[in-house]
Amino acid sequence: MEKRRSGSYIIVLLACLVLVMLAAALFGGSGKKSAKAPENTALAALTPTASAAAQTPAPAKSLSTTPVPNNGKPDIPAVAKADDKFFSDSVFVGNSLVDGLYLYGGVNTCDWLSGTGLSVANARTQKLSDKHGGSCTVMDALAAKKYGKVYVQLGINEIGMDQDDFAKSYGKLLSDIRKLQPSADIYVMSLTPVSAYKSAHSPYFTHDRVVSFNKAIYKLCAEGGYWYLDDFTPLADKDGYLPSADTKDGVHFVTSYYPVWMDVIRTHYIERT
Amino acid sequence: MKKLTGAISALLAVLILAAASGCGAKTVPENIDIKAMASEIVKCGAYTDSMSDSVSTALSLYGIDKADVSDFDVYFSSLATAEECAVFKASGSEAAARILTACKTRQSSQVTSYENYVPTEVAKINAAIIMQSGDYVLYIVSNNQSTVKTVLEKYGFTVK
Repeated sequence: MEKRRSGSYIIVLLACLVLVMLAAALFGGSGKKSAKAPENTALAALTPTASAAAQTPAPAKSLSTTPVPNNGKPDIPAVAKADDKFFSDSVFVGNSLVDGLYLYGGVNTCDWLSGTGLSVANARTQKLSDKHGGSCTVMDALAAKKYGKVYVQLGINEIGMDQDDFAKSYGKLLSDIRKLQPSADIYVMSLTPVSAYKSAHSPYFTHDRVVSFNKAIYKLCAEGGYWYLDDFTPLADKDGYLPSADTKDGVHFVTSYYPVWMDVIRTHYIERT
Repeated sequence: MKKLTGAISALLAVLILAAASGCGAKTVPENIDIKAMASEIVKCGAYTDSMSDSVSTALSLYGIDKADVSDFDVYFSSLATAEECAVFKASGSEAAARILTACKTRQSSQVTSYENYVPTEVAKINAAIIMQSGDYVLYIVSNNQSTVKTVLEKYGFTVK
């Protein structure tokens, strides 16, 4: 009798095990489906990324002469809109505004040496940790690769500085960049406008200081042989302010305004054959 | 013997129930529409900045190998703030671990960038949601993380 009862228990036990296995097969296994094909195919549409660190440095387009021809006239004429290929020998150096261009400007054929908080004071020392593995400064990167065009925008983080000190520091930095990139066209981009609200409520981020700093930058360009890329005028409203609809904090642009800025850059350059 | 068989039966019953309920399926989200979730997060009211996604630059910025992700979406701010919303689906568990490391590096990088620039943003960065759940990895910096958590829970994430 005891044996028969034991036999029954074994049968029940086996039946339960089968049930457990069936249930596990039906409902279990969540979190083990990593091999499943992605449902969203957005990855297929990815364009190549443009980090200087990630790319194998392309050979620089060599220019036959050192392009310092502006002789006191650093202005750049409006020309036909350049395509992305135009920027393939370019590098952009700058602060968070340039980071915005990197993220939203729509050009990923060039290199970007930009970082939030970058200034003339720290451009030699600040590690560009985001895009360059945390081990590279602007000057390291410029020393490692030759470019045909170097775009620089610094100055808004220094707007509280004494203007003469700023000009002296910026002039020295640009001169050092020239030494590293002797055959490149160096485009120094003006400060972009601030909003009327910001200008009225900040002791430093004022319309007048921005205009005054831009005059100093223009003078640096005229004297140093760099091109002055005026992106203040095209991005300001008729009163010289950044339109309030295009900014949240009065200095940075809303994301949709960065391509507008990129278009200014695309249409102002020195044509070379 | 009776006691033993009773215990075995009870144990099996528990096992069956556990298997039938999916063995903790609710804690590991699956088959998420990443684009929809990221969009819902940035529109949930927790963000103060202008946010846009930038898939062409995100992997480079985070230092993530394209082979490590099967899908992703990353929203960046205007750069006036450190607000960010990154959602990745890794191509496997080892890749997920690498992406998680990249997100932690991104957080450190943001702290470095903002601490002398907009110091008030550092508290937001330090309160970032950085987590891995199955093959999904998240890095989220917002102005109201509890609102973001509500959205994440809706998609099956358990945020501590």
